[in-house]
Amino acid sequence: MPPPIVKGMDALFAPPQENWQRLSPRYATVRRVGSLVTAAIAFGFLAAVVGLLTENWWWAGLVAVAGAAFCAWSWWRIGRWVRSWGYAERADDLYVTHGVMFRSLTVVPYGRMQVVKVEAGPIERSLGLASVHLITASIQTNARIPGLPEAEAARLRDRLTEVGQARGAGV
Amino acid sequence: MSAGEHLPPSSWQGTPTLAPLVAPPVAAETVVERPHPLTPLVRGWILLVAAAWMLLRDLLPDGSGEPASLPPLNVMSLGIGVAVLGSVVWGFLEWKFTRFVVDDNELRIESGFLTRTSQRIRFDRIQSIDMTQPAAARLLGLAELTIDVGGEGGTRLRYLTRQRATAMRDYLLIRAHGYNAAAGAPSLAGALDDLGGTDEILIRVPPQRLLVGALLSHELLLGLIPILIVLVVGLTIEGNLGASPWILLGPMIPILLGVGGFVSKRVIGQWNYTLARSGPGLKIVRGLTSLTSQSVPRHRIQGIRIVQPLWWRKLGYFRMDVSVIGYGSQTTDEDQAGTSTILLPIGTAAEVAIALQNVWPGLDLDAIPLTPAPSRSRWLAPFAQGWLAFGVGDGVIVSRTGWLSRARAIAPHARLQSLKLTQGPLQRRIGLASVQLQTGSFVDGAVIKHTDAPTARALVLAEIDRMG
Repeated sequence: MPPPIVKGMDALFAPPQENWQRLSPRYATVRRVGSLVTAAIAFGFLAAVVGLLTENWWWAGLVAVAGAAFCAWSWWRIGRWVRSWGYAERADDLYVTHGVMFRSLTVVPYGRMQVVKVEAGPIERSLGLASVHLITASIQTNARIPGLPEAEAARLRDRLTEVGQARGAGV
Repeated sequence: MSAGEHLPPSSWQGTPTLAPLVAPPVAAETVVERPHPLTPLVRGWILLVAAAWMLLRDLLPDGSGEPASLPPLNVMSLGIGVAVLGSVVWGFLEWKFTRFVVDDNELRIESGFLTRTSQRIRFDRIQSIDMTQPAAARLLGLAELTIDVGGEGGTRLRYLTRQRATAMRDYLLIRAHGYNAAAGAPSLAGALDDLGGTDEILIRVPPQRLLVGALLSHELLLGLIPILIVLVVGLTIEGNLGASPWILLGPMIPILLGVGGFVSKRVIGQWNYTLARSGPGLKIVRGLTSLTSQSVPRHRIQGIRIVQPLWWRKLGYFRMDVSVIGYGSQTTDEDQAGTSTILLPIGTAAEVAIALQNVWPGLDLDAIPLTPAPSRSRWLAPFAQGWLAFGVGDGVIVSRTGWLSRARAIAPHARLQSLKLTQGPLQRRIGLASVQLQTGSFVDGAVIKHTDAPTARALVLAEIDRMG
């Protein structure tokens, strides 16, 4: 008997109260640039190797076309992935969700937060973005919110630090 | 120790004796202790043995009729000689400049002759003190103390005689906690055990059970299968190997190392395992070649896992692992001297209950109602489907996972750091989800696998309230 297909799975990752707050759309640009550069280097190298080995530049052209197709698919995929991120601040805890195929929802109570970090790479800085990284006593907690506008990242950091201190619970 | 009784003075030097072990003295004299002179020997015995073997190998007659001769005086032997001499001198200097000073409110370890280091430990930060006798030290009658201050790693005092180590441990514990752990009879460590007169023995694991458990554990059997394969393959193509069947040893070495490591961890390190209650604390004494006396830090336990491998089910044996903050970075010797994450190597269900009762009093594991995984989870976990379940109790959350090794992970609500609800594409089709309970330790956190999706979400939302 085939397993039943259950509909309405979005209820599983629905926000706890109101809507999810989303990342800045400019974050997709950051990821896309990184992915394009990597793909260009990899496929370019592969095309050159194939062309030199087979002495026939049509094969190299085929590899280049495959690379272009991969870049287009990756462009679309990254857009979807960035749109799947969301976070919500509640009174006592923080909810973060992300993922397209493998979806996940992480909940961290404010009292468990030990360190709140704000990081920004060079491309992110040039677009005015930053990521907020929460650290608890568990190395498995991977609560990161990337691609936030700088002002929002600073606000989130200050608010989390303030409530984390107020509710600090020991290990 | 009864009131007013002093320890005998140390035998090798005229150092002052430790103050009477009755009550924390108001104005204690400063006590200075030196490590035993044989300390550098214990630390570097491998180097000495190697150097001695290399020298004697040439000196002993080798049966070829030539007279024994000294090794040729060339640059290499000169270099080796200088290296050995240098390490001996270094060890001696290190010993000479190391002192343990017990002061009014702290313990100081002063060491180093080029750069002087002074490590200070306040008495009120000492959580527990473990005594370990590694193999080489045990032969010489020495022991080392590991002082646990709640962080990662522990400070070690190496090496003192057993008597001094015991006295120092009791003294520091009295200063730290204000109780006399061995009121009445002195807790003197012997070469074979380290139990005081009033320690109550809770669990004792006989060595036969340890051996049977190791033979039937699937890590060992999984390690033997590659060896068998290599042997069979090698013997059938022996014609091509020429005269040397020892070539077969090559691919077997990593497997043998793995099997050897397993045997050392589970059998040699846990020999004569005894769980005892010593004062208000719990203590584990174990070890065949190295004797380790390790205290169980009850308030720092993040979670307990009770595991039952496949072939132990008929015999009804379980193993208990514990995850503690700070244990992941402990360095251990080759035969598992030091702290280990195994709480009970092999025990019956009754012994598991005793261990749980002493670590977390008031926890009744069987009374927690369990929610089993839905039957449609057999599409993703066909063998484990009957066993997967989770349960929420008063103070803990329990999760059952695994099929070859059936595991129950117990985590207190207050020790969870965060929760993660995940769903893969296959789970989405069937309507399942997994919840990862993230705790602060290096051992895998507990996972509640393949449970009904709305149930998982309800569990996460409710658990967040219980955690706070």
